[in-house]
Amino acid sequence: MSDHDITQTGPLAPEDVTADSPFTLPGFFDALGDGRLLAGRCTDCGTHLVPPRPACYECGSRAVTIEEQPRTGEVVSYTAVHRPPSPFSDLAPVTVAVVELDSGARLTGRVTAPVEEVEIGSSVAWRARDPDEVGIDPSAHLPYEEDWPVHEFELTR
Amino acid sequence: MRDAYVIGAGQTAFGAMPAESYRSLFGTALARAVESVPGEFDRETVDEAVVGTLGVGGRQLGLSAPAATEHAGLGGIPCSRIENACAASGYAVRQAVQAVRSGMADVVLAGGVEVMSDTSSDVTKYWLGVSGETEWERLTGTTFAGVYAQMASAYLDKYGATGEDLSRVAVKNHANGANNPKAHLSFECSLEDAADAPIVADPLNLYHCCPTSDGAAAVLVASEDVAEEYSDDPVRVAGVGAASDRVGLFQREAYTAIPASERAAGRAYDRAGVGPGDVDFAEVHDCFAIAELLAYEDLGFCDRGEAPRLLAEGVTDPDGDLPVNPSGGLKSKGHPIGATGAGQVVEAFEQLTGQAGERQIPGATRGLTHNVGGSGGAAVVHILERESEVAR
Ligand SMILES: [Zn+2]
Repeated sequence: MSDHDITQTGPLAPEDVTADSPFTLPGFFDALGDGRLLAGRCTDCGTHLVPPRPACYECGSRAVTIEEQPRTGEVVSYTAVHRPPSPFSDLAPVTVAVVELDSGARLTGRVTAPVEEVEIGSSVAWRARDPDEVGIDPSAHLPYEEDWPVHEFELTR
Repeated sequence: MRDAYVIGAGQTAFGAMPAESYRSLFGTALARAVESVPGEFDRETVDEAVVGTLGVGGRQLGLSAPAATEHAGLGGIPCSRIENACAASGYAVRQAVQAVRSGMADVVLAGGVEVMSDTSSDVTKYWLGVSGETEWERLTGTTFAGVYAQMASAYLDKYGATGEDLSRVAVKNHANGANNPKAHLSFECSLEDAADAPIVADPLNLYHCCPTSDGAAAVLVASEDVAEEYSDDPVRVAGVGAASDRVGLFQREAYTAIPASERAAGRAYDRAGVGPGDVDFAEVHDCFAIAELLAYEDLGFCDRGEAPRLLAEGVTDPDGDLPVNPSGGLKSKGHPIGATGAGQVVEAFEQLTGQAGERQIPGATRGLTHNVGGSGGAAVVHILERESEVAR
């Protein structure tokens, strides 16, 4: 577990953007492995940035802070991928959705339910898992991604 | 600023061509572009080249432009590869226009090439996947079809559109492509064929998805100072617009639109001093059926939610008020990633110079091309016109 200061708000100095920082993917995925989904939040315009970025992609501000995200949200759009890349073939058809969390932050991810049970507005909750447990072949991952957890959404009702 | 003109444009057939390489395809496209110039044109006149390619499978990712141009007898000129996923060669054309307008060059070759048919489906999915938000979209198990499928789900839900509305895109574009000797899938399909196809990613089925193709296209862009030497009636680049957006769909402000297309089109119309109603035909980026419907709205051909009606009423048929994808589009003509955008300009050039054969739209004097990278991370729009026919 990393003990970096997640309350840090930008603009970041270059030396602050280290592999421990949630503004980088290693830092972000470390936190996800610990069960914490961290978003960037622009303190100027309110946009959520998932994963966190050092600059807001809406307004360009670098005054971005880190905000821990809630577990629950709603499906905004979805599909079932019938012909996924082969590392995912054990999971086919793969239900994939864009979810808006209760905070307003959006992210995409796999849904564990069959597509027939999903609709726009369905309530879901995310959790982080080890990719090997999920049934994704390790060849899906680029070398730098190997230790990263994957998140998935479950229907909550 | 000087005006830029298209003096010639040509392409290979699009399709699966196992006997060809990226170099041979590029060479053929250039030869056809050179042949299409009405006056005498020596390829040594080309000052520089811009080559669009994603480089599916890896191939010659480094120095791809020198590698392609040396093979075509253009060795030694300044050239570079430009990459914006599926919008690579639309951006190559834009860059050629910039070079000409700036005065740095008089004749620029904008081309594109891709070879996709010799790689496995997994390799293709990987190369397309890394043109999305890789840590997120790729690792959810989605494909490119899956990302567009999420736009389709949102669109169908918001406007009450149906799978049949998507299938009509396939029926129209296949009917157009059947008249195009360069098309990859040059057969017609019925609404029933399109409705019964296997699902690829809900609600998109196989007929709602373009093929992966091999092919190359080449466009010769010349300055107003020299264009007359090669053509009495060159095609003027009236307006260019481009925009980028967040790479991942989930990070965007809208899923039922492609905001980068809307911004690119707005800029192109402004520069050209025209509006959507002044366009005689359009080649739009229909990588998936939903993308053509979104394009109608993003390009201002109709209001939000009205695209299915526009299509069903035949407005975008070849004999309608605003024919869309007379070439067959990506759906039927094919989609060799890096060649697609330049290929759209080839179709526009042939239409505007009356050389489109059975696909010819009578009296076409102004056309629009619309090329999108990824699921909307980049877009570029060109407005091209026959100056002699357009009241200015
Ligand atoms: Zn902001």
